[in-house]
Amino acid sequence: MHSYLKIAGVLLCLLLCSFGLYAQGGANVVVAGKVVDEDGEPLSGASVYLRGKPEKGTATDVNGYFFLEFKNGRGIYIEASFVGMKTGSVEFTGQKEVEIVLKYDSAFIETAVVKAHQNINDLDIRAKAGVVNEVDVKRMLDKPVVDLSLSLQGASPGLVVTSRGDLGSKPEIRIRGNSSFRKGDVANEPLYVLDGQVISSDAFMTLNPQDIADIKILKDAAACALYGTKAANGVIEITSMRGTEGETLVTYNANVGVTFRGRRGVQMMDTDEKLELERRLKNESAPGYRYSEDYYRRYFSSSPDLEKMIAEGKAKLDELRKTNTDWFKVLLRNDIYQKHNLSVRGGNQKTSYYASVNYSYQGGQIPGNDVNRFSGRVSLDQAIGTKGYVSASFSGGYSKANSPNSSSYSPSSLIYQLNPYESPESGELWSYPNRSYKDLVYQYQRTSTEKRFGGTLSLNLEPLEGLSVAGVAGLDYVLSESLDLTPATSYEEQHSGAAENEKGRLSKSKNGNANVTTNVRVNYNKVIGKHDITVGANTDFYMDDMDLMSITGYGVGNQMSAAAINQAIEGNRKLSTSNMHERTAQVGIGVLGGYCYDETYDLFGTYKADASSILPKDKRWNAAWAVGAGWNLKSYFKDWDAVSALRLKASYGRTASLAGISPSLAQATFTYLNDSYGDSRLFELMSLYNNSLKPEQTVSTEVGMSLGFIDRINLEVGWYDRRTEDALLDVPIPSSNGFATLKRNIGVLSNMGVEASLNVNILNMNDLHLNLKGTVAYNYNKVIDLYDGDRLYTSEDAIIPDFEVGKSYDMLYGPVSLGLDPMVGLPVFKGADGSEIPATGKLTREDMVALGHSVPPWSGTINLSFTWKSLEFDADFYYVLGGIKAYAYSYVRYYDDANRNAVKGQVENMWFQKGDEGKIYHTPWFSSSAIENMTSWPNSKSIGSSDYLRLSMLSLRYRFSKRELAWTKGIIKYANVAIQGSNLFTITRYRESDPESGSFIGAQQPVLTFNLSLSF
Amino acid sequence: MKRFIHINILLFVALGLSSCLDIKLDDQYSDPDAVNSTQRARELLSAAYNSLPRYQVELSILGDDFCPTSLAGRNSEMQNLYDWKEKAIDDLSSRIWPEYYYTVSLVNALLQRIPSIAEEDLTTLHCIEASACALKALCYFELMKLYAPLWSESNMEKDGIILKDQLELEFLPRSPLKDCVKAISDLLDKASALFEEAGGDKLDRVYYLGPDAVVALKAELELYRGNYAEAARLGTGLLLGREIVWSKPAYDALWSENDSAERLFSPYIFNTFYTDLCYDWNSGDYFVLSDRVAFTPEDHRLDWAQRTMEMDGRTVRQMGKYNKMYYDKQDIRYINTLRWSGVLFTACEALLLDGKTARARELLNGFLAARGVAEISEDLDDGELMEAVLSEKQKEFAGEGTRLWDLKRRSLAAGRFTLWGQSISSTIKSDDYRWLFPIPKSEYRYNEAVHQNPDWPVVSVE
Repeated sequence: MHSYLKIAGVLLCLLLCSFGLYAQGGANVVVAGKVVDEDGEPLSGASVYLRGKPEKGTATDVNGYFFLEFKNGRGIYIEASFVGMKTGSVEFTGQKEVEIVLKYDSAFIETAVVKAHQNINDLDIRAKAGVVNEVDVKRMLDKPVVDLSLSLQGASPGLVVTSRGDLGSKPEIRIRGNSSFRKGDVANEPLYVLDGQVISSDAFMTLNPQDIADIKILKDAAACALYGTKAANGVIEITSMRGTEGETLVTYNANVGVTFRGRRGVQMMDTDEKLELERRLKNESAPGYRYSEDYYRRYFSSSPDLEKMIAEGKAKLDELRKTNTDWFKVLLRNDIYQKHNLSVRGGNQKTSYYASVNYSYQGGQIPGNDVNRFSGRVSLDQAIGTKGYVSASFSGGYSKANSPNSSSYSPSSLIYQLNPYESPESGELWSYPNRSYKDLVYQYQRTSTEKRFGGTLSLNLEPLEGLSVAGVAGLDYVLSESLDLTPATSYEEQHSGAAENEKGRLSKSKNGNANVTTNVRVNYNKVIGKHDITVGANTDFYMDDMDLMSITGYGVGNQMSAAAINQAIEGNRKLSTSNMHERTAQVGIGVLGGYCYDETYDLFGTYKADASSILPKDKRWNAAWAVGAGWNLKSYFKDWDAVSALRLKASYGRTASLAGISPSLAQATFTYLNDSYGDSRLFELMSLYNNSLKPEQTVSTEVGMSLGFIDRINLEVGWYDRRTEDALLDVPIPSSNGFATLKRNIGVLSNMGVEASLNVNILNMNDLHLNLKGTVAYNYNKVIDLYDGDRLYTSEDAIIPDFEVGKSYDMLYGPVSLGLDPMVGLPVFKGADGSEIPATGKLTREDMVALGHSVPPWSGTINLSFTWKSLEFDADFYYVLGGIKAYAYSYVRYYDDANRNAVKGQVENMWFQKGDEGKIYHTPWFSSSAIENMTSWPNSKSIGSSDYLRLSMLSLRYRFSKRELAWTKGIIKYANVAIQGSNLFTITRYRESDPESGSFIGAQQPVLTFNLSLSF
Repeated sequence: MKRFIHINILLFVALGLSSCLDIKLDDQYSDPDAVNSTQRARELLSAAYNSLPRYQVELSILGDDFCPTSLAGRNSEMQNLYDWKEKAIDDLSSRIWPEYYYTVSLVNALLQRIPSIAEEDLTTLHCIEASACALKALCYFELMKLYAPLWSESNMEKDGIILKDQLELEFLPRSPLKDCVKAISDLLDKASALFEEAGGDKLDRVYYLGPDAVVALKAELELYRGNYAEAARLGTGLLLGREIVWSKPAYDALWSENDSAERLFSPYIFNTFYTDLCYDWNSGDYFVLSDRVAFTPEDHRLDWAQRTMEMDGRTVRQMGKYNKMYYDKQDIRYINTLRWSGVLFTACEALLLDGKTARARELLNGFLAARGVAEISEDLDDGELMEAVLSEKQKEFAGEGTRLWDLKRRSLAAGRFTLWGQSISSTIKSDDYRWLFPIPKSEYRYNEAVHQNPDWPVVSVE
């Protein structure tokens, strides 16, 4: 819609401004300035010119900035115009910088010309009643992060992005929490739409942020319902950059910088403390005890050589004390970050174009972990007479991620296991008997690549006044490939017992995923007096085709190539292949209606019926509908200027969701297994099916308000309740049914919350601007109903229900710990009746208390923008509050694992003997696995608050003025440099690892870069 | 009006497109035509057979075929199982129960779909159905051995196992013992009838239960429920003219990928099997053969029934058979589940209990002679003879997991050996509650109709 507005506005101002202006004398001056909207948001591509001389104007850059050169004189007005906004002006009185604020023009629609607009579901009408949040793309671009999805963290309240692993792995993205009892992306991920084309989350990951013009987050039913049953978890709509009218602008943008090791999860012991701990743990597999005096006195007390032995032992220990390795520094590294982007845009009234290429690289913390990305994009818009536009865009990308991590070989976990007295040159390690350092690293290598191609073609026509017909068709294809190698030289392969020519394991997989979208929409708008009526209808078709092929073979040696697989191998190491091909399609038909009275009252309703190939014929059609209302109260405050805007809105809707349902769940479905039984193939039932399976129903209610105060303060507040009825879950069933679980509609859950954002324009002077924005989102989830009783235990061993009516479903339960019993060194728990229950006792359901939410309910951002002359300073903080995470305590060593490094301070904080009081870690001579109470649940002392505050973005930019660029003789039109950083620091009370991902390696790494942007 | 035309056009387009939603997936076959041919039926039958649980190692450890070595302590799970620790048995039970019911569910999926297969030549289809019924009977029987009380007048109405006929979510109670036995008997009778109708076993593979295996199972069932004459009749009937099978080459071939005349039913296996006993190839096994399983030098089985190696400075007799194949890095393709020698022991026992001592002795001696073992002494009375039969059976089937059932069935105590089997440290008495495995949590926690076996703990949460 934006681009639509832009062109119309340009034409409008050309018309309005086509009268002459008298000539001016005087010297040339250059004025720098910025064009913003009423909210202070920069307007990119706005035309800026002297009143009466639009042909000698310029256009604002991505950030709303411009330079204008003209002859000085009197009575000069600098005007700016933008599609859909009223033209604004500022009188030039010699100031160096100007800011022009443009106001929205409510009358523009009738005069605007049809403009290329690829996402035909992106209708303004839905935003009047629904919740459509725009992401501040400029801030997103300021953040040096390779992954688009991670740069969205904090971009909109209620959009929660959580990193969950090493670089290149997909983060968890949720809009307003999990809408299903089922965990995981399939059931809870939002829908991604790029220029009207549905794309997969993998494709979204690989998009180039520089190619994005805007991103909208659709949250409630009224906003999402046009997408039908696919949109139950919200929608992320991406609009790509398009050409603009005006001269050709070539922009080069580069970021070069460093990536850091990041926050140290846990401080580990140095050599002295470790050897002391080992001595006290009394395990001879650790040198601190094996060579200690204690050891010799215990086992060789009667030996004549005792003193000699002790002396030899001491010498050994002294030798070890010479080494003090900080494995954090050895195993993690600082690396580089770079990103280069070249784009060309331009066009005239009939045709406009945009093209770009991008390369980016981010090195991870662990050697061997990095992400490379290359992408390109072309888009073209062509007017067809005065009645319409045809648009096309094509994009492609190649992305490659390397990782040395797998579940069984994680170099990063070694940081917390290798001893400080060991070094990479150490030979056989105490921490890993029979292995040297070499046997621990280079054990595994994984390369995953993604090749993406997408194309979208759209047509917008307005054959009659008020009638628009639009169609979009697109294809998006992602080919994900991965190559996993366990080299023949790895420890595991060396000790596998396999023959030499059978060593080296290689897996290769190719997963092709094609998304096809077509959508045709007809809208008719008529204004009769104060009544503004819109009706429309559409039909769409989506197809998703997934083809997964993989092979696993042996005998490759150290060669990372499937061609090296030894196909002569028989038996367990025989070459195996697998294939999965699933194609699903959905057809939908929808209608919508909107009514607006006197620009004050808005009503909006939409109904969409979708049929999916996933379900059997009789259950195929499902509906999504929504109604919404908006009320503009500004007219009531006409005489009170303090209130510059006031708007209320409410919506209600219902959507069926098919997320995570596959045909095999609703009817008996069989598949062939790879193995054979004698001379016969194996035809096996995929799962127990549920004849009465129904799609989940998401019912969402929303009430919101936006308030503008003295043109400086904008407040938006929304309350929502999203209820999922017939929620699906794999629930345990009696095992005599032959299967452990069955997907069933088991109950009702709700996500309720409040989202608010406050934007305060603190300072707005000629040279000085200070803007502060804060957002907060609160989400509370609750089980409303369970159809089979009040509690549901998903594990047969659980005594605490996973879901309980009336309770939040992300609550962690466990006993209250009263600390360690000084006599035995084991924890004592508090029983429900106040009694003390020893660690070896039996805890019951009643003894468990709610410890806290595992998913933090509060999240938000604080954004600060400060500009002074040509200097711009931006900072974003992201915070998460109210959650807890259980400590793994995997770095605390007991008797059994005394040979691995331990957390600093353990010697002091561990119970060693009767009478030790106030200790944190229990006695080392007890296997915690033997005591259920200590491992089955977290307790009040083994959890920590996962609250954190992160400086997620920091940018300091300097814009060169025209004067400063004069030496380039006009070759360089705009230039600016910046220092930018992402995730520079995190403040948290969580003692162990990363409060966000909960893993030692998952912390988002800090990146600091230098940015240069040049436009020619 | 125009609007309605547009909507109609859209509606038309949408409905037109919806016909393209009948998408067949390449690699998934959904009802109604998933199992639509004899070949598919056979492939589903194969999947059912392939899923048959394999707990020969664990069940042998519970019996008295083995004694612990110095390595046993390295595998606390196995050591606990050897010691009949409640939790270890509970863990084992929680794996066995669902696995057998999974096989049953695949059989049920097949049996439900066979009637709808349109086939002109019904003989193969009959054999598939017969073999499926037999497999279900086998599963029920194996479950009964572990979870149901022994057959007696007073136990008739006690809880047996769950009889499951539908492939759908059900919350069924355990059926009374007599119904369970009847169900097994009916399934076997149905299998026999179908084989007869088909005019013989058209599948003719040792890895499917064929007509002879069905009779063997029936004989075992009759022996269990005290119909000794019938068991003897079925067993000896089967063995008529089969004495020829006991030969050294045939016995040796049992432990190879090759055919063996001694096999009656041997499921095919593609993966590794019986690797759990071994700690590593250099150090040895957690458990080795106890003195209850000793072979004379003349015994033809000696080469394969045991393996010797040095452990801790002593020569130990390891479990041979699959364990030896594992040490020898030989692929295992057949799990010898029913053997002709098993039929012989069933027949011997049945004859003895039916009072036909001479016939039993003759049968056993014939077998022993073929194995290269001395005949049974003439002086033994009936009780001693029975003991000798069971002892010989233990030797024949050592480590194959059958001994536990024989101990339970004959109400014998299970002795627990000390390190290297030097002495007996404790005995699991025949009236111990642990002979009846606990119903796993995965069943009783989600099925209120099911009751736990006596004396086993129940997790209670409410």
